[in-house]
Amino acid sequence: METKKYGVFDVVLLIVLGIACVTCVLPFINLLAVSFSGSTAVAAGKVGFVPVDFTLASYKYILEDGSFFRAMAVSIERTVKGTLLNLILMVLTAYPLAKPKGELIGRRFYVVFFVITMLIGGGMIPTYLLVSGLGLKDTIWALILPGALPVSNMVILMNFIRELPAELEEAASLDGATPFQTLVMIILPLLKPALATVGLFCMVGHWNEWFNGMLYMSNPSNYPLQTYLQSLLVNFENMLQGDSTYDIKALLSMMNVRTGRAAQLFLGAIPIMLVYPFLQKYFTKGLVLGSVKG
Amino acid sequence: MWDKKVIALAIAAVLILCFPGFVGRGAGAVGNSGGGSAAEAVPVPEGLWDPYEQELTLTTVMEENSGTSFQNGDTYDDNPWYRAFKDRFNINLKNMWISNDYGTKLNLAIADRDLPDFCYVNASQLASLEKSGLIMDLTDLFDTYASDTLKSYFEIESDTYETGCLGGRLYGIPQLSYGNIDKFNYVWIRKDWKDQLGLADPQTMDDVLAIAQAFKENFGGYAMGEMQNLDNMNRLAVAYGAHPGIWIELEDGTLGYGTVQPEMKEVIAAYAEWYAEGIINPNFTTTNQDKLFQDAINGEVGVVPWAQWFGYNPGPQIIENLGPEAIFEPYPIPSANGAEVEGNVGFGNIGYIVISNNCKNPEGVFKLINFWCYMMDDAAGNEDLEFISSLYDNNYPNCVRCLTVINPMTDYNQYTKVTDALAKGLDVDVTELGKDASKYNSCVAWLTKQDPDGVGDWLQQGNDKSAYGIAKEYLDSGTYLKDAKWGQDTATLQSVGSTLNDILVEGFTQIIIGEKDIDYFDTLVEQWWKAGGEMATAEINETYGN
Repeated sequence: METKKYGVFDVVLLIVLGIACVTCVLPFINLLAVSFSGSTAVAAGKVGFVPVDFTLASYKYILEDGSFFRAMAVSIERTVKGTLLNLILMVLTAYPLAKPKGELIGRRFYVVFFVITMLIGGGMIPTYLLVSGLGLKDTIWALILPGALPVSNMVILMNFIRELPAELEEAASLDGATPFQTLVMIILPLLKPALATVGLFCMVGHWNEWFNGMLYMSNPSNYPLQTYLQSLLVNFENMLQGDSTYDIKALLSMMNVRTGRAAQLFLGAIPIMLVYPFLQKYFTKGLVLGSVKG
Repeated sequence: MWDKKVIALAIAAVLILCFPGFVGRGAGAVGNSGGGSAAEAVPVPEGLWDPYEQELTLTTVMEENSGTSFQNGDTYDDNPWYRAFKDRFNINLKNMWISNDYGTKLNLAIADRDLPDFCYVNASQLASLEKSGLIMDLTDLFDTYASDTLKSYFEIESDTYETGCLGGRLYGIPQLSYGNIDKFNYVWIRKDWKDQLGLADPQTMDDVLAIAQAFKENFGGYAMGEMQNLDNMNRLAVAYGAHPGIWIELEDGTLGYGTVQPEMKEVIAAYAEWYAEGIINPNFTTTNQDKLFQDAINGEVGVVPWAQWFGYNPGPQIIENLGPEAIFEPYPIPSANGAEVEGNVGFGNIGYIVISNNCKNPEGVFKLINFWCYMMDDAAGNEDLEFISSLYDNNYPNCVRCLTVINPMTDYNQYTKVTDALAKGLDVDVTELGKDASKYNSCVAWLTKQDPDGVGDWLQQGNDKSAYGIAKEYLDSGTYLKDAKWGQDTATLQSVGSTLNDILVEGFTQIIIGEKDIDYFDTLVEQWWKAGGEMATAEINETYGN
């Protein structure tokens, strides 16, 4: 019988990775325990990894309050619309740019045009002025349009298309397919794994982004979920620091929502946690995608 | 090959050069369009309290405050205050935006030149708005339209009024604060332990130490609470005649920073000794506010130097965890050397109200501020109690933060009223108390039902040993020291102020835990001086000196 031998190196590796895993998971378990605990026990620092004074009050409050789910709806809308738009624009840009030299007039110009945006940003205030001048403020498009073409993901896609055999396209054009038909009927089906990868990147990006929500939304009821969660945290910290300028009664009532905050943070992480295991394989793929040159 | 590369580079260069150009033009165009949207002016009514005949719409912006608990579908855009404005003055107040990151949003709005009719700003925003000519000179408007109540605030706090003036003209109305009474510090001592051991109230610093030691011997834990930022040492420093954290007048008439004065050396030397004797929390270098509160809630510590709000937080949690007898009571910080103790009073002003140049009816803003002041000060007895409480319950005053100017005597007067009412009994008719009724009611709730939510108000105002009672004595006898820097930080302090403080806190910590000798204090002061302290001192003397 053959048994696999574990060397010292493997053992060390396992231990290190094990510790890394545990440090990732433990804060989460703590958060979960806090969300199910009584507020006094939390303030007394008694809650570790098991809830103390078990209560569902926080979750009940979230269900009744409604603003959490309103924010979640905004986030879902943004993620779905934003990711779709990202994918469409990335394919439409990557396909022509993947053509060899000479086939696309001015290709270099376009590449430079896009790459520059990777190196130089507009800055917060000019971007804000632009978005507000275009009248996008307070619409979902303020969150979607400014990053509608993620250039680095587009480059990944472009490299992937380049690896496809050129003969496929030649065969298609011999059969009389227009470039657009070639893209939709030949290239697109082949792109599926790459699209899953960059799509996941875009999705996670949209879901986690909170700053634009704060900048462009005039009313907190239009905040996407992460902006809403961030505002809960910030308000809480402000109150703890700003002793006399804030009403003390407000501070008092904030102390009791500490458990509620944990519950909301936990719920906010659930959707991505559910999606991740299924798309994880594409994530690792994304790291090497387009890196192999034929 | 070569020429293609050159072309590519040239294109890149052109694009880079064009980029700021595009942005610059865009900003200008947007800025111009933002200004023209103001409405037509509406005829001004004659009397100060008369409503407008034609509806006046004013715009503002709002900071989100999650302490506000909205009831029955109320929102920031539609709440009892806004309805009262419509009702009393025919003014329709609109929020252009609501944000939890008010500062960033406001800076963007300023860059966009998209200001509301009025809003509140901080001192540096006030200066930049005035410089770019976006806001009105309010000097004459204030004289004409401010109510007597509003004007009376600035008779008390004329030095704060000055901080809203630029070049001798008023551009921002200071919003003031709840007054000097809430600025003082105390030694908070756990009641049940003190009673069990039959200890007397502390008269000297040695008494405080003896109490702390006795607690530690009898009940475990550690003796006195401290944190990594040494806040509590700074709170106790007044016992030695030192005034850390504020700027004070020195013997030679110039201004100096309290933390680097020789008196502080004595404080730190004493503190290092206490640490060596095991009086100070041995883990203070890793303790923050949360951790300190946890220790108080878990009965690890019975003596904590703190501000007046210790009863609100962690007060209720202490009661829930350890029972109503475990409350901490405030005591004045006693003298360590027999000299009279002077409490520190820092500059407190929550912001400045400014009015945009595009506002067509600036007097409307004053009407709203006047109404706020009237409700705060004169409404009791004149208005229906139900109406008053509809404005003050659920933290609704947060909804009108943009126009609050706080009577600097608010808490002082409230304290007097509440203690008078409590002296009369626990079933006083609260109509006379107006908005202060809720404080009285929660004190009663604590006394009769031991309601934990009432303990904060009780320890702040109701108790014989109340924080405000002690602070009132400081104020009435004049034994307090006002920060000589009565206004915003100067340039150097704004840029390196926190670094300067870090130098001192780190150095002091080393001395306290015994790594360094007490003479290291002089080295630290020298470092502080070189790192920017010298420049800061010069600036402060120039701006605030005589």
